Amino acid sequence: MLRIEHLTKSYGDKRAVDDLSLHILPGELYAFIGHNGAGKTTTIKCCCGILQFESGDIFVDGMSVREKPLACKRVMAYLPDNPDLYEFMSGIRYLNFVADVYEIPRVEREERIARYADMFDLTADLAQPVGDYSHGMKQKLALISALIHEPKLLIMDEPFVGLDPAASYQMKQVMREMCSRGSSIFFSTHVLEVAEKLCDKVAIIKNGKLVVSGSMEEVKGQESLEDVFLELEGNHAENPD
Amino acid sequence: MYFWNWRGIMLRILIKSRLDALLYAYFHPRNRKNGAAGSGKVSGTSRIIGMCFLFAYVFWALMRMFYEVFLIMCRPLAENGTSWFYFAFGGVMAFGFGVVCSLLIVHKQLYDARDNDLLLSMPVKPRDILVSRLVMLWVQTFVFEMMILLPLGLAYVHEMGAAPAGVVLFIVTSLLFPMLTFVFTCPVGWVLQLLSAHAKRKTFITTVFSVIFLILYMYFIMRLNDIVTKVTIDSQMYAPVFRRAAYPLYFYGKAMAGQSGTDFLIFALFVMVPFLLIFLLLSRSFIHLATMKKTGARIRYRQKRMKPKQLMRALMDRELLHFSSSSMYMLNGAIGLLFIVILPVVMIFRMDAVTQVTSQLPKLDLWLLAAAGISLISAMNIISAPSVSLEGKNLWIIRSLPVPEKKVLLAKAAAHIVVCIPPVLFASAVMAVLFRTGFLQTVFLFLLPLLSNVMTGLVGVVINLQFPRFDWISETAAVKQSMTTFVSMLVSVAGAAIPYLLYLFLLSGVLKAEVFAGIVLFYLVCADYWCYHYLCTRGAVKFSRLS
Repeated sequence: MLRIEHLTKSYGDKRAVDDLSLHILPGELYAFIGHNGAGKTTTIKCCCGILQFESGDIFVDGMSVREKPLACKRVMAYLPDNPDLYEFMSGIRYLNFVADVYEIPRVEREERIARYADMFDLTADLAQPVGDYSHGMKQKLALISALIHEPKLLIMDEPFVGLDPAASYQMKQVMREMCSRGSSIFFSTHVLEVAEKLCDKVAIIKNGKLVVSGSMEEVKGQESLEDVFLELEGNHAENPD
Repeated sequence: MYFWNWRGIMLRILIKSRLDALLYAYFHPRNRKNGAAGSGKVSGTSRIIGMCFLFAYVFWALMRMFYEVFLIMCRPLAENGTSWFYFAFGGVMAFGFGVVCSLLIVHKQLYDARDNDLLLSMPVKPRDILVSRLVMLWVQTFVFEMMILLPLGLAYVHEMGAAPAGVVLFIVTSLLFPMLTFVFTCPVGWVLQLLSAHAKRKTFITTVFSVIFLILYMYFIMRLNDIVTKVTIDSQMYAPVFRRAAYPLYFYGKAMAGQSGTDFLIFALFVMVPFLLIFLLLSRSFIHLATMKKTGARIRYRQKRMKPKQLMRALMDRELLHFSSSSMYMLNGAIGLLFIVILPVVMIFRMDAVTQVTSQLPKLDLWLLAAAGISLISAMNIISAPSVSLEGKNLWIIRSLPVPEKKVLLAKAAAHIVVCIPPVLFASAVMAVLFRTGFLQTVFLFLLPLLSNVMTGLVGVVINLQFPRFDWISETAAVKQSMTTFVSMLVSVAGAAIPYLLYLFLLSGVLKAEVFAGIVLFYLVCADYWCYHYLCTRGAVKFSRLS
């Protein structure tokens, strides 16, 4: 569903992502972990077509993000770490705007908005301007807008930040449900326990380079994901090369 | 002792941070990475020099205008023995100008500052935060008011001469003037804050009040010469009225005219006592004011039948919603519309005056003059000019959605055109009726302003793509303090005006008006098509590289 091949992206002289390759299959829940500034957000933004990259390629559902960006965006959704939404719109107008872009017919959009807004306890606030929403409410609205066209691939950057426990629980349920239907989810997180319990596969990135990737069992073995992550960080701190 | 030293240091740091923020807003070089023209940073020095020239020009132009006005008044009033009235009148103007220029700044910086929460969480006394804000507001208001007070003083020196004591008094009273303005702007800013916190239709209310304010201000400026002449001739009649209506400024006038220490002290008391009361009130309630929640009236959602829209319509509605949600954006982006509507209405009722004015102009077809006028005023609207910058931190939304870049850009221009078309058509229709134009002339009278309006909308987006600015904290910075809006207006006005100026000075004897109008029509179609083509091709690529 998502294939990253030798992705390289620099900001000036600084190489944010260096020759990174990953393959996420349909139905997989893939965690992407790394320290602050490791290159997670840059990788994710490149996958979504928000950032352009120097070399390598990214394929979504077999289509190149470079060559067919619109077709790729049509089958995926992106949830950023900081959901800055249109504050001049009400929640419902924002959802309708996104639904208009994805050309979702009236009946389906009404049903999906009602279902997800109820699920995340946002129905009563949908008429409020987004500018009056709390961080958690914005996060929920961004999540609903990402789910509204039932994407084949959902890419999320720190999706659990700002969510209350009930919303976090619902979100995990939605993630599992999506993957059971054959959609793929690729998300970055610092909550290693969640990644460990929820995900089929994990990739660890450090200083723009992929350190390890594979199934959760392969990567962590008998240890916890936290131990493995800290160990890798420590090893690389001692041997930067 | 340690406490006072600590407080002094904190206060100095706060004032310095406010000063840095002020200078940053105007002089900070913009980062133009990711697709904007060139790479790296715009030269900080060239930006500073450019802004200094711009400010110097604006200050000089305004001060020159007021200086001429005061020269008319000074000697006659002095010879009448009502010099105090001269200064009181100037004082009222300085006060009004200070209020107009600083009211929204006072509201924003005192009650609606974004760093209030951060500063309140630090070991800083709320009163010190307030003092630091007032100091910076004092600096800004002082600069505004000096644009009137300085010509007031200079005109007096030029006509009547000055003693050293008078100069000292002038400096001291000028330093006090911003405090007098605060006595008005601080409470009104507080009312604005209450309105914006609780009112349901706050954008509408703010826009209506601002438009009324602006119309009154424009009316005053346009009638300034009449008012000055009237006041100067009938000073014996107006002086007592002024004395009753603006009592503190009566003492200001007396202090300045008679160089009287007693009158100065009374004026100072009139300024300082209410100011200190307001300061005490503000410092007691600062935490409450700064942390007032702006949630507005809660609107409960009721599910309704949804109406899917076409992509282009959805994108355009997004732009229109953004535009109509901000009174600042509406007032700065579409101020020309106000004049486009007012002008024909005035012409309907004052056709005699219009005929008188046009009869003095070089021999020109009036319908062509009308088309030029509407096109020029229409070019003052800059709705699309900040629209790329206004994506700001929300740029990720449109970049992550499956939307062709060219449609995003065209929707921005389309929103501008849709907003401007009805007033432009109204103005053209009124002119066509007033000037009793023939068929071909009517067609030109409608088409020329329309295509000029299309050009302004497209040019705004084209120019904003060259100088996008996403690092703003407040939208005001993207709309008002951005070079792109200034350049857009300049290019649009020049693009609309140059053909007509060429006709006026070179071609009017050579070409018939209808032939010339045909050439302008062709020029506008070409210009519109070039902008459209640019946005669909290179502009779209440029937009796809922004982040």
